[in-house]
Amino acid sequence: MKIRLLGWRAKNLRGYLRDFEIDLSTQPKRWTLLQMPNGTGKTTTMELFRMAFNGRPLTNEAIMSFRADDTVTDGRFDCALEIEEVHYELRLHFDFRRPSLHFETLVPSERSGGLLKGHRLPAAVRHTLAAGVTELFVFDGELAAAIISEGATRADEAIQKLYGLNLLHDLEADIYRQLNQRRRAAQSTTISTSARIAKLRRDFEEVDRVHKHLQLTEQKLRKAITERDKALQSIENEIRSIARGREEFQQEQASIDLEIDEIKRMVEVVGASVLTFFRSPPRVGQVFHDRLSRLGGTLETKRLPRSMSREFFDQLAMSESCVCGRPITSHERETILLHMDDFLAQDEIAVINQMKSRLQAIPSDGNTFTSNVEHLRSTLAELRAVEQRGERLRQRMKDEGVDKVGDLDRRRDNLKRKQILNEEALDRLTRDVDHREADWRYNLTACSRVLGERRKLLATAEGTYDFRRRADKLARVVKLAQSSALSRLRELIRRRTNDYLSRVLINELIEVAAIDGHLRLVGKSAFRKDSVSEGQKLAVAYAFLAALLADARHQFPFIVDSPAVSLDVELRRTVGRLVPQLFDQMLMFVISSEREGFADWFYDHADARFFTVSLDSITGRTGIAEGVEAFRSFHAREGVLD
Amino acid sequence: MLLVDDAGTAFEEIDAALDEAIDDIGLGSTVYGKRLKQLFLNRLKDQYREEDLVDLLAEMPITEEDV
Repeated sequence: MKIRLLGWRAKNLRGYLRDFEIDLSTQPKRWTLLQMPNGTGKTTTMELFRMAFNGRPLTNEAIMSFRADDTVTDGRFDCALEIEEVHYELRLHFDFRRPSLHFETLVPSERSGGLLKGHRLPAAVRHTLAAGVTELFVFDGELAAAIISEGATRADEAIQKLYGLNLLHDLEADIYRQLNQRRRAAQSTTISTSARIAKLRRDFEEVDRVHKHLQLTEQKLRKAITERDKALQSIENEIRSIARGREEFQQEQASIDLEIDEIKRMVEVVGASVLTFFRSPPRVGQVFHDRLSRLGGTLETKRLPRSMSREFFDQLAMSESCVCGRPITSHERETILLHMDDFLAQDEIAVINQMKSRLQAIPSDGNTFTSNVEHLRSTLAELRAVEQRGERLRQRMKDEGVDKVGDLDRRRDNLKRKQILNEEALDRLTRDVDHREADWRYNLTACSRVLGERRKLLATAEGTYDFRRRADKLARVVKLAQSSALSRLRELIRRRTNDYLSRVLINELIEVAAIDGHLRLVGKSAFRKDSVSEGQKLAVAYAFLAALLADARHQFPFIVDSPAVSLDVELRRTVGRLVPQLFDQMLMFVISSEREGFADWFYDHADARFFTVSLDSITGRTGIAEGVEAFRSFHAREGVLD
Repeated sequence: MLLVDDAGTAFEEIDAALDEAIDDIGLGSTVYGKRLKQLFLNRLKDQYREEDLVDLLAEMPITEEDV
């Protein structure tokens, strides 16, 4: 569905929104630029839009925070929309005396006069908004950092919410709800065995408690390891930065950094290649290659029947006469059916034919898994050698009296010791051991097995064993569908994001290597993740959002506050040319410093509309002027009101 | 939720993922597999009925290996 913003009205609300109205319904344009000095209500308006779309209740404190001042008792925010050519108006009524907030939806096309209580947009749109996608189109600047931030999961969450994969997760919960209902029903009919069931249940719950505790311990250990890794990396960066700041060490440090970056990139490339070869048996080694080639040759010589499949004889046995015309009696029919299984079935023939064609196409360029492993090994040895050079440089710095390096080194050694202890604890906890040899109270894999066994005993006693197996199997399919859909969508969106990025960051060569909770960025040349500027982060976020929303069922207006404020002028020009093309309707709140390089691109476009908000410092009232001339010539002392 | 037949490539990817998951338990070309896929699609479109889930749960084929 196509959703267009037709305008909004605010009354008695904070941020000088005492009596504010913008009407976009006449002369609708694709792009609306609203120039508002800082402190005149941009952030508040963004919040109001989010509230209007989300339709969720607020705390009393949050409601009161919107009050213009102590003299007003109520406030309003109305947001007019057009959804598939039908007019809707979302109305938010603030009552500051109680305090309360209630929603109304005006739908003039409704027979009853159109004023409905509550948040009453079309169901499909409402369900999409309920999933929490508003921050994607009423763009929250913090989202830009969050989708790149290591360890965060915002990028995955956005994909899951927008494409409804979280609904599959809910389906899993529904499956186990059915199982619980079945179990309760079974319990009520087996009173005679209730004592035995109660004991089995206690046994099961005991392991279940330990299992949950061990899972929590695992999460905590992993989190601590990740955080310590970050701290270690930060110390490493600090030492490097000290070396780069001192003339006698900077050249050597720069050379080490460059070599490490290059070798790490090489490790990624060769590592990926090793995996590819590992997945191709003929390329694992010469012996594999020779034997599989021989098998290919044998399959080619021993030609398979093309049509004499098991199914052919099955059909023949059911016929009145043979293909040669002789009648088929019950004796012939029994004989055919008896020998039918000597022949391959059609699907088996298809598999063998596929094997044949694959085996015939075995490459023999000498490039094998073994040679790639050797390459990887030598690359890792090079990396170790360069890292040792780094250690020697560090020692020199300490010898020459750079005290800070000594302190950092001690902190690093201390952290590493703790890290090793945590890694060992994690290994003890998650190591795959036979539970008869390990105490299930301290080992997660052993505990999982005991949990499974006790669950089975309990389910058997309750008479729900088979039902549980069915439920587990269905839940497995649901989980697999969800994870497979997520990884496919991640890859699709990654490719699209890179396509957009290559158009925005033409000379900067940043791309998304993977989406794994967050966007993992890599550079095509010397690149450090910690060197991504705010502007680049924003460009990546825009590219990601555009890629994400490209297939969306509903086209929402894209609303953004200060889209170019953190970009340098050069990047503004490229982002400013690309981003507006990505959305059907865009509302941009800008400040005067964003005119150069960003807003000025729209001046000559007929599909753009301009508003300028000014503040009378004596009356405290806002004025709104429309038109490009007022927009261009506006002079404001930005920030004085913040 | 945004999954509709006209949603382009993203729909195709999700559709393929559902096929892959159902194939993985060997039910890809069966009537049961088709009904299961329909259940998933309905769930994604927020149009599913609990009775369908109950029926499919009761009919899920299991073997000795499914423990």
